[in-house]
Amino acid sequence: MIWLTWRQSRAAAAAIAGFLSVVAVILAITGPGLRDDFRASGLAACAGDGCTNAQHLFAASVNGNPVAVGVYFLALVSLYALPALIGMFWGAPLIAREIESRTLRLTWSQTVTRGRWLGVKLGLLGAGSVVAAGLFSLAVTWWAQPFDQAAERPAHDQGMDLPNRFAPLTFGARGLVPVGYAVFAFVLGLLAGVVLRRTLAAMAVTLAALALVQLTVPATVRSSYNRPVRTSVALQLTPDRPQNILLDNGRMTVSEPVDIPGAWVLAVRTIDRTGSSRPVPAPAACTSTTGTIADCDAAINRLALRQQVAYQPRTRFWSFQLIETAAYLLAALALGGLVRRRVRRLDLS
Amino acid sequence: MTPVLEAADLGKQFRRRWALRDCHLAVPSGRVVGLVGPNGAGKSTLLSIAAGHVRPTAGRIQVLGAEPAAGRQRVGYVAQDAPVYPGLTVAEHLGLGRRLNRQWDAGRARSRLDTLGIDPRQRAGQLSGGQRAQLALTLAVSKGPELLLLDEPVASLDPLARREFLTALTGADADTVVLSSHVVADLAAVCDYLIVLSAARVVAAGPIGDLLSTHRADDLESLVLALIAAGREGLAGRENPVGRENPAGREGPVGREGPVGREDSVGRDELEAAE
Repeated sequence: MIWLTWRQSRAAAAAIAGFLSVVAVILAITGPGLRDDFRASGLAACAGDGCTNAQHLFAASVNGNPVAVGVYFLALVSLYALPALIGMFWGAPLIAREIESRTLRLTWSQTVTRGRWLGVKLGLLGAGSVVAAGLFSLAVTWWAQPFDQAAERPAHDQGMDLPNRFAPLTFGARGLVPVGYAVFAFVLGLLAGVVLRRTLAAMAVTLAALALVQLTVPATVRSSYNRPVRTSVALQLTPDRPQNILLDNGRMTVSEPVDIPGAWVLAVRTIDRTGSSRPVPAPAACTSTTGTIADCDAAINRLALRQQVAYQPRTRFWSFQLIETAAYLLAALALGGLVRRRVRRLDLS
Repeated sequence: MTPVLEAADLGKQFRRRWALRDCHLAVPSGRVVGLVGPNGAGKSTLLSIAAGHVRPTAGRIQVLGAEPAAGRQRVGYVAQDAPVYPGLTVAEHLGLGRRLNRQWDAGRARSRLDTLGIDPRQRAGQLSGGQRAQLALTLAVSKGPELLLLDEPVASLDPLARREFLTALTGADADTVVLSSHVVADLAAVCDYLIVLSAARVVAAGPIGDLLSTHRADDLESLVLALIAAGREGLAGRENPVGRENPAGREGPVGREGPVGREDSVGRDELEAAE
C-alpha cells in the first residue's frame, strides 16, 4: 500500500517539493543580507530614543531593497497557498479520482481492508503534509526574523509599515500553525473527495471551504483564545506622530496609533473625562482657519482624552500558536473520523 | 455442501430505485455460473454485493460461508470495464498484486501474461481492451481464489478476443466462477449453471441442462429470452413475481412453463434491443 500510495502521489509530491525548493532557494539567498542589515541598524541592542534611529536605519535599508519586500510577501502568500495546494492536489483526488476511474474496485478486491488502505494513505500523505508545511514554515520564520524582531522593538512604526508576527495576517505564516492548516486542508480535501466523488468538484469545494475557515478563524475566533489585556493611556498628540482627527458638525473623534511592541491590538476606543466615547466638541483651535496643527494638538491635549486599548500581548504568541495548531489538528482528526466512516460505508456502485 | 454463494431476501436500493430485490440464491461450488439478463437487471449489483463493494439494503448474503468482506482473500473479482491503473506498467500491477495478497502466485501471473503475449513493461493505459481485461483477470486469479466473480468481462472485446478470453477462463482458474454477460452465446460456451435476472429479480437459476429440460426449450438463448419476458410480465402483473414461495435459487423453474420452441425465440440482437 505504501508503494502504491507513493507511486500515485509522487507527481503531486514532486510539484510541491519543486515549488518549496524554489522559494527555499530564494529565502536562502536573500536571508543573510537581511540579517546583516538588521545587525548593522543596531536594532538588536537599542534602547529608548536609540531605537527610533535604529528603526529608521533598518527601514531605510529594507525600503531600498525591493527584493526583500517582494520576498516577504511571496513567502507570506506561499505559506497560505501551501495548505490549499495540499488539500486540492493531495487530499481531494486521493479517493475521488479512484472512484472516478473505478480503480478502487481493483484495489479493494485485493486482501487489503478498506481501513488499512485509508490508514496508509492518511498516514503517509498526512506525514508528508506535516513535513512540507513544517519545513517551509521553519524556513520562512527564520527568514522573516529581522522583520519580526524589528516590529517587536520600540518605535517600530518609524518608517517600516509591516505588521508584527502576532497580527492576523502574519500569525498564520509563522511558527507551528501552517502545520495545522496543512493537515486540516489535506483531510478536508479527502472528505470532499469521498463525499462528492468528483475530483474537480472536490478540489473547488476544498479551496472554498479552506478560504472560508482561514478568513473566519482570525476574524472571529482567534482573539478569544485568551481574555484580552485592557489598558488606558493618555492621548497626547504631537505634530511628529501620526494622528487621526475626524471633524463632523462641530464635534470630533480623535485617535493615534497605539505603540505596544509585538502586541496584537484588538480594539482602540477614545474616551473623555466622563468615560464617554462619543465625539467631543471640537476646540476652536482645530476649526479655525488660522490655527496651526500645534495649536490644535495642544487644545486636544487639554481635553485630557484617553485611549482604551484591548490587546493580546506578544508574550502570548506561542500559546496562541499552540492553541490554534491543536484546534486545527483536532478538527482534522474529527474530519478524519468522518472520512473513515464514509469510506467504510462507501458503495462502489 | 455449503453453497459458495447464498442469498436470502437480498435487495439493493439506490435512492428510490431497486437495483436488486427479493433475491434468493444458492450457488453450488465447482460450477461455471452464467449470470444473464438485460442491462439494468441487477447483474453488476449482485456481483458488487458478493465482492463486498456494495452493502445490501435488504436481506443477507454469504460468500464461501462468510460475510462478503470477510472472504476477500478467497474471492477474485474483475469489475466491469476491467479497471486498472493507467499510469502503472503491467509488471507494476503484478507487483501491486504481490504486495496486497499474501497467497500471491507470481509464477502463475507471469506465465499467464507470457502466454497471452502481454509485455510486462507496457503501461496499462496503452493496453487494448482485451489485454486490459486479461491483466485484470490475471490479478484476480493469481491470488488463488476459490470463487471468481467476473462482471461483463468480455463486453468490450471483439469476437476473437472474446473467444480467447473465455478459453483462458476455462483453464481451471478457480473452483467456482460466476460470470455475467448479456450475450447468451458467450455463456453457453463455458457455463454449466445459469442465473437469469430480469427487472431486478432472479427469475430462474439452476444447471443449464435442468433448465432446458424443465422448460422444454430447444436452446439456451430462446430459454433466456422467454424467462426474461416472463419475468417482465410477472412484474407487470404482480408486485412480486418471484417471492419466497418460489425462490429461484432452489433450482425450481420460474416463469412461463411449457415448451420454448423456435417459434418463440428471438435472436441475440433482439435481446440486446430489449434492454
